[in-house]
This record gives sequence, structure tokens and C-alpha cells, in this order.
Amino acid sequence: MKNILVFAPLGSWMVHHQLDCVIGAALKLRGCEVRVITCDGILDRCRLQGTANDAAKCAACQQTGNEWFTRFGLATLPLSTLLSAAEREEVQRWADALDFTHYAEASFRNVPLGRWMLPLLHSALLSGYLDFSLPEVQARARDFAHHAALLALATLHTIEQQRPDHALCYSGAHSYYRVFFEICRSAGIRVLVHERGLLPGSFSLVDNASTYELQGRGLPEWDVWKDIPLSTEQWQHMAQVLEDRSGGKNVNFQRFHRFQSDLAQTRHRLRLHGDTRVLLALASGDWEFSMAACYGGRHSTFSTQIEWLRITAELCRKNGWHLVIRHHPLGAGTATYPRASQFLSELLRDGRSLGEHVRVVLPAENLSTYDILHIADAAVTIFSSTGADAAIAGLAAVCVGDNAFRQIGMDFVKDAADYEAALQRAMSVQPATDAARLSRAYRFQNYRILHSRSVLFKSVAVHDVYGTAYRFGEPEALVSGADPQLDLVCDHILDGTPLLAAPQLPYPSPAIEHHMAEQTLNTLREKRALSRGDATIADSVELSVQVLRLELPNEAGVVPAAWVCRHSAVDFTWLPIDAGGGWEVVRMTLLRTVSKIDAPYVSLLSANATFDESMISQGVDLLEEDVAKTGVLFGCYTLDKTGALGPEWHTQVHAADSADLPPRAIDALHEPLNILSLVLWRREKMIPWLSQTLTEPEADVNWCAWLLKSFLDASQFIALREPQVFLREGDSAASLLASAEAKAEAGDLAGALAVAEVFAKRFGYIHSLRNRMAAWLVKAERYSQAVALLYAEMKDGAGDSTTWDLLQKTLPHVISGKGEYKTYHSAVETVHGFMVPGQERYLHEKVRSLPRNASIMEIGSCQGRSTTAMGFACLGTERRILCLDTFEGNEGIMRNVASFYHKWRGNLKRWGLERYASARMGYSHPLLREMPVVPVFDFVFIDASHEYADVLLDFELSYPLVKPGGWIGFHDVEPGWPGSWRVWEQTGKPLLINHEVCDTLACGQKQANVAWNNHEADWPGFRAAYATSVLGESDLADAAQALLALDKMTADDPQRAVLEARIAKAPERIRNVLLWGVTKEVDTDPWLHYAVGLSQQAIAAEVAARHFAQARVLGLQLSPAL
Amino acid sequence: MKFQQIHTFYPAYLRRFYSSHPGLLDAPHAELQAPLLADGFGASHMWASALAKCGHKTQLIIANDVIAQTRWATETLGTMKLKKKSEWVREISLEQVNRFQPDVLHLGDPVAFDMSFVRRLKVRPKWVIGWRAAPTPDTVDWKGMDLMLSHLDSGVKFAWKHGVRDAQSFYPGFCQWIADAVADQTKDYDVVFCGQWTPDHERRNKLIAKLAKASLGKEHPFNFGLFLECADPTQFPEAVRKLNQGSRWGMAMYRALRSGRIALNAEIDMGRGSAGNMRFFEATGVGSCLLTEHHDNVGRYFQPDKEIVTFKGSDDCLAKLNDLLDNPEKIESIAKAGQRRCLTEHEVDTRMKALEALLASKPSALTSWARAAFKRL
Repeated sequence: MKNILVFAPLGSWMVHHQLDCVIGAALKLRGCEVRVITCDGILDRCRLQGTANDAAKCAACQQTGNEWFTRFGLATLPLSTLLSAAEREEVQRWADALDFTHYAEASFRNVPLGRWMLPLLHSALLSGYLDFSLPEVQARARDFAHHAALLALATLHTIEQQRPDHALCYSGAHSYYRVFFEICRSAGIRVLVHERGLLPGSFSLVDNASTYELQGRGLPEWDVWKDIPLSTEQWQHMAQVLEDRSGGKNVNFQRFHRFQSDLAQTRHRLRLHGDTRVLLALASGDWEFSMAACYGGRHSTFSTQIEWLRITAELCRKNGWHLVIRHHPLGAGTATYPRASQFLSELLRDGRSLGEHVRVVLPAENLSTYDILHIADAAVTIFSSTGADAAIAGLAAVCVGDNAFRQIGMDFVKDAADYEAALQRAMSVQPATDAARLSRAYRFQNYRILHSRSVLFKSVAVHDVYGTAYRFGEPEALVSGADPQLDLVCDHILDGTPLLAAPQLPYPSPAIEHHMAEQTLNTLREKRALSRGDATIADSVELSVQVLRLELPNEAGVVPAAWVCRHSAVDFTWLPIDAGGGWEVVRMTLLRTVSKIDAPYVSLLSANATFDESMISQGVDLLEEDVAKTGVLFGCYTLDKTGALGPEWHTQVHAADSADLPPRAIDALHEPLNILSLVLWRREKMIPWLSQTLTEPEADVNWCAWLLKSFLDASQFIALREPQVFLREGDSAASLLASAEAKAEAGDLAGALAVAEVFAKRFGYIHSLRNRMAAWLVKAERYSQAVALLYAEMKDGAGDSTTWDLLQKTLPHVISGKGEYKTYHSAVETVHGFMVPGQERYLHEKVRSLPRNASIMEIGSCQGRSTTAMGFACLGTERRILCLDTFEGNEGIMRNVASFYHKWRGNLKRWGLERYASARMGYSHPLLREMPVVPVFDFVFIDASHEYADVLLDFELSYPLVKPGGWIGFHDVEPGWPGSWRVWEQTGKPLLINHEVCDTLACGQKQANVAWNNHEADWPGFRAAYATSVLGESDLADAAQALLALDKMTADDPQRAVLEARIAKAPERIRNVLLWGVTKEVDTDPWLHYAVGLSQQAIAAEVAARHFAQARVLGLQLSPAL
Repeated sequence: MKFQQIHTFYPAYLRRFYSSHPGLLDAPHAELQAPLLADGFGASHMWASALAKCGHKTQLIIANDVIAQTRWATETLGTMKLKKKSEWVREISLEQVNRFQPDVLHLGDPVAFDMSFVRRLKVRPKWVIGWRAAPTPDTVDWKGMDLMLSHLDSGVKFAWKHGVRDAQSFYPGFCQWIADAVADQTKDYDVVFCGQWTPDHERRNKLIAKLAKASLGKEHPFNFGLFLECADPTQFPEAVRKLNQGSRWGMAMYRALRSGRIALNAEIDMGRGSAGNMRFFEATGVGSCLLTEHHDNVGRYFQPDKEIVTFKGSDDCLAKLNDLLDNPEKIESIAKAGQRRCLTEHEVDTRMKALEALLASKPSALTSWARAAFKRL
């Protein structure tokens, strides 16, 4: 009678323990004494079910195990009966004192439990990186070691007491089963190890080796099987099995890939030309890589996968090959452990510098590994089982890790120095030509899949990967003869007969096998030809995609984008975009930009976002297949500020609760520009989409929720569950608000408002931001500005009781004041502009003096400093300002810079004034001509182009639009701006009455019944007058000439000092005019004006040639109009 | 007669009103009041406009409408020096009353504006009258007020105790134009209730909770629309929480009342014994069948079982309700009769004629013995 010991502490793992039950019962029926070590709650923090200290789950697990073993009549040895209280205390003390810096060396009573538990930690965390500084890792490591020590003691006691002849357990490597396996084997007790098999329903059985060792050492009977040819039937059967496996059918493991194979599209999807030479690198899960390293017998040529891939990429670049890196399905890790996906994030980070010859295929892409094998010229792997599939696909393959598959002819590179030569050898082999290699691969897979690793019992089976299937009535039915495979296993344990029967004689003819191999090679060659595609596919490789990088001003820590792309025609463009103006501004900016793009596909990429090339490639593929869709919405990984992976956002998972998205704890998804980054757009549909949504009021209140809701509309967007985009979280809304509140509390109003502005740009005016700002302003007694914000909040429909309370608190202060400009001065100062101090006050008071329903027109608004000053005078009235501007600056220096309309609007919005001013974008002259010639304006302020002809025409066209008694003002009326100066002096003064002057701002009142007259004829001597006033000032000419000369000099030119002295000698006014122009007005072409104004043709021409070649191209008239 | 009314509105209502009429934030003062009145917040503040139709010079002040009041101050005064900014509600109103110099000053909120306010006026109006139908703090200063009006007997008694020269029973009525404005509202519910859920309405709260539970029950379910204002909605019983759709004010409230075939009414706790609250007329006026608490004086306004339906206690309420729901034609006929009576006898214009008559008669102050007698009550 043999004594059999079974190890089954995790009772709920019945997919494995069902075999223990069946074999145990069969052995009992054959006269053996069978005992099963079970857990009765001692392993209370085993966490293998995914939750800690879940008493209900723990009890259910115990019950499941006990019930089944009892039903099979097997005696159980509950752990508590095997351990004394003193031992359990000893184990607890040992676990509590664990030194995590040397966890791998931890041993209990000389049993190396630390080393044995490392694979379990990797597996539990799904990561190759164990960061023992993290409490979560420490807790798990302690629990695992604690339980391992208890199990080690229990196993030792049982062996000592029961003296088992044979043992039976699952895996021998995974989880706590390694403890039992290693101890039994050390004690000289043979262990039959079992695992799920490769064919559906099957198990695999290993004699006295763990499953991991098996993968490293190879399969024991291969030496016999490798020399036995396959018959035609065997070959065909094998071919069918392999075909099924490549499509995910008839497998006994979880199928990860959900897309259909499409060989004809594979090269296209990878954007690889038909004649490109391709090396395929098949990566493993990095946790598996690390687990393998925990087993002493497994050799890896490279210390990390990252290192291997980096070196492989470099060798491919050197040899002129393309490299396709195929990631393991579980490469992306899990979100439960911060470093779970470190491998993937490191690879993606480093991948961007790997080179343009590299294609990274992420786990979830619609590319089948088996298809990629048919376009590759060779493959390289560490441990991946797909290495065997490479051989089946007729490829020469290299492996850099010790694994079973090298036995089928993979070139095992043990020393990194030999790696390049091995790759060159593999790449030099013509794929699908070597019948002998193919035959060996088929024999190996036949032996491995159909025999060694797939044991099919009649009485028990794995059901649907995780389930159990008993196929008998009572355990008593498991008598000898009932199940031949079970008999074989029992015989093995009882008598030592081999687990796998020897191949049956007579062996098939090698010639037949060779014939089948040749036939298969032909098929493989046809597949390869198909994968090369036709000319159409080759042409479409040059797909054009435009990536617009949405830049947030002052955004630090930008994650580098994926510049490397499968698309040779991908353009990356920086698009400065300021979300401060709200959704409408963003849409308008995008519309303007996108309408100029030729590329059929567009991607927007926020400063916080990055993605792998696969996002573009896969997105384009899907849009090509479904032409009705507007775009593809990808899920995302979120990164914290250090770049570590955080929670994942899956579109399909979150579609159902999209309304709750913004409050979810994924900070990166609180940034609207980030959300725009989740979509790859079809350009032609993006424009109508943006246009149609221009009127969405909901969008302006909370972009994030609105955008996500819109994108989850399945009729327009293809939503992919798989994350493909990486979003780095910025400051969260809560932290920004807290920071702003803290500044306000500390009395730093400017700081608080600045943070609030950043907040508004990112999130819009949500979370009662304006209420908060108003409260800070009230505290600082800036009541008028507070009221502006509170009005804006009310007008947005967002006003709450706080808004109302604040209004009740502030408005009485406002009516107590005189309504002077000074109450708004600090707000206007936040807006960039070019006014002479005092002019803002003049404009504000001018507008205040107008009727409360006055209409004002500003010709030339720039970023809105004057608009803001006037806008505050409209607050609480029906006065409205119409602003005409190109919002692109002058033709010249700023021409290539994107519109600053958003800045203008953002400045107004910041102070709640956007409703008081509207804009018409374009040149003033055509816009003015479009207006009905009706006197509707009470005040027109002309501050656009300062060219004489332009200013004059602005004046002429706006004159009839001004009511009699209305006012017309001109900015920059001074000799330094001869155009404006001349219009005022020559035309404005005589035409208008009641002149008012505020430094360089002049204003006059329109008389009733006075027709337009430019009065040019009245001033024939203008040139002379101008010469007297400007050119007569030799200081100006001299200083200007000196400045121009300085501009041409090098920094060390000895003449610089002389010229600087000449400038310094000029009167302060002249110096100010020139220096101000050069430094502050650089974006409004001061040189052009000065050069023209100086009327010195030589200088003008020189300046024009040097600075304004662009202007000339545009047809700008440089000749003075004087 | 120069008639000036000072009212205060619920701040939450004012906030919502301006949020839904953002253009008014920039409108001149003269344009602010018409839209507010058109929203029909309540009948009592319609007195000024109703009296204006009779040829009187009238003015309505919504004293706590910070938008309108500060706009008035800016437009009229330019700047207004306020010694205590927090007193703006009274200070601006004081300025307005001093400028208008009314013959009759009607204090619609005689708690915020009591006689301490009147005594600061440059010229005391000939008549200072008030209206109150809610709990009033004992500290209120009504001494010397000419007339206090209330539809509640308890309100009249309270006024007598607090030194008013006279106190009379009076109710504001209902406006025909509001009935016309909501006539297109469909009947979406079997029963509706629109009002507050506060500790002052404990008895009514229990009734609503009972009906809510019954409406969701299996025995005799009905479609119950609740439009409750509550500072802390978490205190709602589960059934009420399920049914409550949030508060309604102004025209939205009238539409809510009209949306029920039956409109439920129950008085505030202090009003027990007196019918005639605002909802009494609002519900009938919009054309819903009023199901209201029975009070002895209910016949003064409507004829039970012909123009309205009354109940005594919650069980009776539920029984009456079920009876009505089983007889739809009865609901319709009572609603029509109730509306007819409301829009004739209780219309605001009619009520204002009564007010005019009241003011013209100038009843003499109570004798000292009578006042002393009432104080002992």
C-alpha cells in the first residue's frame, strides 16, 4: 500500500484540484492511502482571490475544498492540525521581522522561502518590478512569506509523520505549491505535477519537475519523438490544430486577442512596404520574465527585456532591417499596483528613440501575431511560446533565453556578443524554404501539443478554461479500466511506468513527411506573397496624418510625443491653443487650423498626452474600414506626475456611466484638451462635427463631461476599449483650487487669481470658480471687479446662493463708490496691450459718459486691453462693444503665429466681460463696407493698421456709422506713427469738434449734417509740416539710423559704443519712441512704421529688405503714402 | 391715492429669476420689474399694479432685489453713501419711500420693514398697512401701524396683541392673467403638491409623506407630483424623495399646480382653523380641483364638494382622493366650478376694490379696553 500525499490548500482552485480528487480517489480504489493537505483558514491573508481578509470568501474556499475531497472519500489534513500554536507564533515573529531589502534571501529554518515566493509576488502584482518600498508590496510579501513558512512547516511535519511514497500537486512552481513541491523533492519524494493542458479540456502532467522547469529544460521524451516522422494524417491534424490556435480556437487558456486575423492588411497596418526586411521580436510579459529569472535554471542573455529590445533595435538599424516588437497580451499589467506596467511605460518612453525602423505593436492592436510571422523574415524571442510558431511559419528564429523551444532548432544565443551574428544568420535564411526545419517544428508541436502537454482523461476535464467537468457517477466508478489515461497515471505512481506512451510502431515514412512539408512550404510562400500586397496597398502606405500638438501656455513637463510613426507622411505641428477663452475659442481655433490641413486624418495631442504610433495606425485602419465614422475613441492609461502608470480608462466600460465621468478619480481625464487627445479624427467629418457643436451651451459649462459624452456616441465614433493613449495628470482641479484658496487666504490676491486663471484654462469656469475669485476680490475690497465676475456667473446660469449672497454684499459697495476707473485699474493691468498710461481710464470714462444703451465700435483690439477698459464701463448696462480685428497682428512678424482671438476673448472672460463685447474677425475695411450705412454707433475707436491710407479709410468708412454727436477716437496720434498722426491732424481735427486729447489718443465729436471730407486738399504742405515735426527732428533720424546700424553689428563690434552713445544723446521722448517700438511693439511691426515714417527711402528699403521680405511677398505697400 | 408697496422675495427665487433672465442683469431699472411681475411670484405684490389700473399712482419695491435696488440707486442717485452697507435693503427703500411720499405704504414684509422703518421716514404716510400670514417673531415693532391684514385669524390676533391700530381679515386673491398664461398646461399628474417642507409645516409634511407612500403602493396607486422646497432634502421620507421634483416658483409653480388634476393644499401649522392661504386661490385659479383641509371658514371662499373638496385628517384625505380619482368627471366639474368662483369673486382686481373700500372707511382704532382684552387672549 502506497502512501500518497496531495497538496491542495487553495480549495477554490477546483479547476486544478479536481484532478487531485480524481487521481486521489482512483489511487485509493487501488489500495493507496491518500491524504490531502487543506487549509482551514490558517492562510487567512492568502490574497490569491484578489482581496485581503475576505472572511466570506475564505470560508467559501475552505468549504469548496473540503466538500469535494470528502465526497471523493479522501482524508484531509487541515493545516491547523499540523501546526502547533508555538510554531504559528514563531512563524508570525519571523514574518514580522522580515527584512525587505533582502527579501530574496529570507529563509525560515533554512528553507529559502524568500526566493520561492518571489515568483508569486511577480505573478500577484503582474509586474517584473518589485518595489519593496511600497507598503502594498511589503504587506503582500510578508503575507506570502508567512503563509509559505506555515506550509513549509506543515509539509515537513506531514512528510515526517506520514512518510508518503508519492506526492501530487498543481504546478510545483506557482504560488505556495512551490513550497510543497520543493520540500517533497528535497526529501526524495517523487511528485506528480499537473497543470492545464494545451488542448481544450486537457491537463498536462510532469514527473518530478515544476511546470517552469519544464519550459526551461525542455520536454523529457523529445529525444525519442524528435526522430519519428509524421504521417500525412498526423501532419494534417497538426496543421489544423495550429490553424485553430492561430485564430484563438480550441485552446485551453484565456484568449486575449479579439480582432480577426487579416493577413492581407498586416503590412499595410504596420506601414511596411512589400520589400521591407522584417525581424519580429516577440516579447514576454515582464512579470513572466522576472519569474523565470527566479528559477535558477533559466538563462537569459540580457538582464532586462528593455535592454534586449534596445540592442535588437540598434542591430536592426545597423543592418537595414525593420523591427516589429510584438508585446505580450499581459504586457500592460494591471492598475492595482503602481509599477505593474512599468515595463510597458519604459518601453514606450524609450521606444520613441528606437528609430523610425521600429514598429511597436501593443497588446490590444488589431494585428495578429500569427499574421506578423508571415510578413517577417526571422523572429527572435526570449521565452515566448510563439517562438515555436515562428518555426511553424517557416522562419528561422533566434532565442535569447533558455527555453524548451530551442530544441526545435532555434538559434540559442547564450552570449550577447554572439547576438548580431545569430540575427544575421537568421535573416539570411530565406523564409519558408527549409523543409527539414519545418518538419522538426511540426514533430515538436505534435509531440508537445497533442501528446506531452495535452493529457485527456475520460473521467475529468477542464471545462471552459476555468471550470470543472467530472464525467462519472460516483468516485467508486474510477476503478481500473474505466479511464485508460487515469490507469496510466495510477500505474506511473504505483509502478513508475512512463507517463507518456512511446510512439507506436511502425513509424511513418520520412518521404511522406517531406512531401507534406514541401506542400506546407508552398502554402506558406503563398501567404507571404499575399501579405506583400498589391500596388494599391503599397500606395496607401503613404497615408497622411496630421498631429496637432495642443499647447498649453506655461505648461511644464511635457511628455515627449511619439514622433516615430508607421506613417511616413505624419506631420507634427505645434498649435498654440489657449483654453482660457472656453470651448468656443478652442473650436474656432481648431476649425481654422483643421480647415487648412490636407491630411485626411487628424489627431490632437495635448501637452499632457502622448501615444504610441499604434494609436494612429490602428485608428486609421478602423476609419478606413468604416467610412461613416467621424473618429476613433481610444481608452487611455493615466500617468502620474512621475510618469508612472495609474488607472486605466476604458471607453466601453465607462460608456454606461459616462455622466459620472468627471468626478471619477482619474485626474488626467479632468483636462478637456487631454480628452481631445483620445480621438483620431477623419478630417472631413471633424470640421462639421466641430461646426455643429458650436452652439452647445452645455459644452461651455463643463467640457470634460460634454466631450466624453459626445465621444461615446457610437453612431459617430468607434470606441475602443483598449487604452492606447497615455495621459499625464496635471494638477487636479481640487489641488489647483486648494492652492488658489491658500494664496488668497495668505493675502496673495494676484497669486490666487493667477492660479484661478490656470484652472479656468483647464477646466473652464466650473466649481464656482468665479464665486471664489469674487470672494477674494471682496476681501481685498475690489468690489467692482467682484461684481463683474458675479454677473458673469449669473449669466452663465451657474449662479448659486453664494453668488447671490456675494452680490448682496458687493453691489452696495459699488453704489457707494464713484464708479471710477481706479476700481478696475488692476484688472485692466492684467491684459497685455500698448496703451499709454492714462488712456485706459480715458476710454473707460468716455464709454461711461455714453448712454446706457450705447453702441461702441473698436477697430483694432489686439489682446483686448482697451476692450477690457471699455468693457468695465458696460457692466450692468446695455452698452455693447463691437470689435473688428484680424486677431493675427500686422502682416509681418506675427503672420505665422496663430490667432490671438482666444487671448482677447480669454481676457474678457476672465473678468466676466465677454458678453459686453463681440468680435468680427477680418480686415476692417471689408467688414466696415459690409455694414449697413446707418448711424448706430455712439463711439468709434480707431486703432488698427497705422498706415496713413488704412487709418484714413477706417475713418472714412466708420464716419457715416457714427450718430451725430457721437465720438470718434484715434490711437497713436503722434509723429512716431505718422499715419495715425496725419489722419488726425489733417482730417480728424477739421471734421470733428470738441477735441479731447489723452497723450497720444485723440478724440472728437461728430457734428450733425457734416459730410465726409478728407481735407487733404486743405493741407498741401503736409509733407513739409511732417518734415518739420518729424524729419526736422534730426535726433529722431539720427537715433533711428544708429539703431538700425546697431542691429547689423556683431556683439563685439567696437563701433557699438559709439552708436549707443548717439542713441543715448537723443531726447528721452525719441529714445522712448524707438526703444519702446523695438522692445514692446515688436509684434506690431514698429520698424516698418518708423522706416516709412522717416521717409528716408534708403533706410526704408534696407529695413524692408531685411525685416519685411515677408511683407513684400504679401503685397504690402512699403512705399510711403506721404 | 399714492400707493407704495414694499415686499421682499425669497432670495432663492430672485437668484433663479435672474439666472433665467440674464439679460436683465444689464437692463435699466425701469425695465426690471415688468418681467418679474410677469413671472407672477405671488398675488399680494400684484396690488400695486391692480390699483394702478384703478387710477392710483402706485409703486412696488422689491426691497431685497439687489440688482434692481442698486440699479435704481445708481440711475437715480449716481452714488449713494451707505453708512452700513449691510443695511442696504432698508436704506435704499427708505430713500425710495422718501422720494415717493405715498399716502398708503403697504409693508408686504412687516418683519423686515416694521414701524422702526416707518419712523425714519421724513414724512409718515397717512396709512401704514401690513400683510402677514406666516409666523412672526415677538420682537417685531408694529406699534402704531394703522392696519394689519391677514387671512389667518391667528395673524389678526397676533397683530392686535402687538399694538396695531386695527387688524382685519383679508386675502390677496388671484390674477386672471395668470390663469390665461398657464391654460395650455397639460394635466400630467393625478395629484400635485407645490410648497415648502419645513418644521413649520410638520402636520402637512406627515400628510404628504402618507400620500406619497400610498401613491407608490399597490392598492390604489396614483400619479403624485411633488414640487417641494426643502433646505435639507435628505430628511425626506423615501417615498417623498422618490417623487419630489424640486421647488417651483413663479410661473413654473402655477404650471406645476395646473399640471395636476387635483391640487393638494394644507395650511401652515399656525394657520390651523383658517382657510384662505395663497395656494387656496392659486390652485383653484389655475383650474385644478382643490383638495384642501377643512376649516370652519372654508365656505367663506368656496363651496365644499361643489367648488372644492375638503378633508379632515390624513385618512379622510386619502379616502377623498381615491374617491375623486375614481370619478374623473367629478374632478373636472369641481375644478371648473372652483376656477369660475376664484376668477370672479376672488380675482385681484375685485380684492383691490375691497381694499380701496377698507382704506376709504378708515376704521377707528380699537378702544383701549378692546386692545387690553385682546392682549389677554
